[in-house]
Amino acid sequence: MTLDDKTLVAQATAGDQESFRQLVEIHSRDIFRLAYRLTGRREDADDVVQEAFLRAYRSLDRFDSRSRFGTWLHRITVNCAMDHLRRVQREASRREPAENEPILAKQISFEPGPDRLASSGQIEMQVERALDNLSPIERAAFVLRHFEQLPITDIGHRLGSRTSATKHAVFRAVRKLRQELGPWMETRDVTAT
Amino acid sequence: MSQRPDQDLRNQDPAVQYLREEDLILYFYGEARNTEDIRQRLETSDTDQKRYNELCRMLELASEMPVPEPHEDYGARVWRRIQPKLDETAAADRFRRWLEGFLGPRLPARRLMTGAALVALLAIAFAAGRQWPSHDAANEQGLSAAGRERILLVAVGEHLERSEMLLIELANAPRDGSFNLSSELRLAEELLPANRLYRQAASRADQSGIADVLDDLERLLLDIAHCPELAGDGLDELQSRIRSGDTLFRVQVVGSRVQRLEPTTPTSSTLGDV
Repeated sequence: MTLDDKTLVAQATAGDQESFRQLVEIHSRDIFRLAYRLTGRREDADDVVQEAFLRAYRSLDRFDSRSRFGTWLHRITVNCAMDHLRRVQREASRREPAENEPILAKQISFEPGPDRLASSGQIEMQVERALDNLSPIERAAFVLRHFEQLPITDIGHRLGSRTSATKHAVFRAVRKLRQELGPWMETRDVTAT
Repeated sequence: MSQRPDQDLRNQDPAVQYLREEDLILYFYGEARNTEDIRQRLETSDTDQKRYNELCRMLELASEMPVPEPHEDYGARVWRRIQPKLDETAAADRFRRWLEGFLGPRLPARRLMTGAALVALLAIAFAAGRQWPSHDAANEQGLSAAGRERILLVAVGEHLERSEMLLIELANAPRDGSFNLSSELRLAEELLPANRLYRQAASRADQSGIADVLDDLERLLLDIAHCPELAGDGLDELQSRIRSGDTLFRVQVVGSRVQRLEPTTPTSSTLGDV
């Protein structure tokens, strides 16, 4: 018999690891998809999924049982992904300290790996590249609005930002995407005609 | 004062009467306040209609971001990865919270003494990344020496990492007030008690280099936590301090050192294809 989330969470909070295992089984694939959209890389998404479940486990006693576990886990995943992206940003800046540039102000820039080059179409690759140029907050705001279809107010709550700040993060993200994809779309249109 | 994007539909330049990009974006997502006005404007303005169509095309293109479908047994693989860490991570968290509880502003003398003893014990482990004597608080949790060492290092490593991320976040925060920094303020408040503990521990262990770094960090955290106006001049001043000083760099160095002491944990790269 499959138990519902509420029961499983109650049992896991009481120390039953088997119940937590079932929660992992139920939610991990959804969480992976979210983590992948937020990070853009399979390995990073795996790390985020693991970290999200670990954080959830150690915070179970703080979980409000009136909430949905999936929504709570979703929120934790977004936080983990943002922490992960900031860490990547920090490590990248450590490797390449830019002169005359504010410390750690560089954007994350992932070059597509060979697997991505081989398996992705040109459109997907362009989109991924454009998304990789967003800051963690911009990417999170955009992914949650565009892919997860959350209202901006909800996104603000999840990111700990004011609605106006979240709105501006979405605007900046869209603007950057347009800058990245716009010229390429024009070229594609010309080629198509 | 800035105007709400959906408050006035038109660009402020009277010579250029078109919808702003912000309004088009909100309209696309169904979050514009005056949807009907925008719809009418789009019907009557070819320029705006063209701009909106381009935006729609671009955003639809963005939807084509591929997401690999996780394998059916992905959950089982995740579980195999995290299961060995569950006890450790939960204990580390309880331990950290317990430690922080000792550092309130007003403590009974007996608790202070225990706290001081703990600082001394922590100092030893902090300096060497090794021993944890048998009569300390962590031992009460029934953990092995190796387990306690791991918990300590995880806790210290996490503290430095969280501090580092806070400083990075602040150093890069936009100065136009568009980003709410209240969570950063709260985080600084949360980090202070643990930082005090680790600083005391490092001093006791004659780790003056580490103690100095934590001392700098503590002053910075205090300023952040008590900064009345992070969106204004206060933020400018803090950013200058973070950028011009070497606290962040030193925190990174100490953090790396602690991470090197942490026992290696398997990474997710062995999870395989999803």
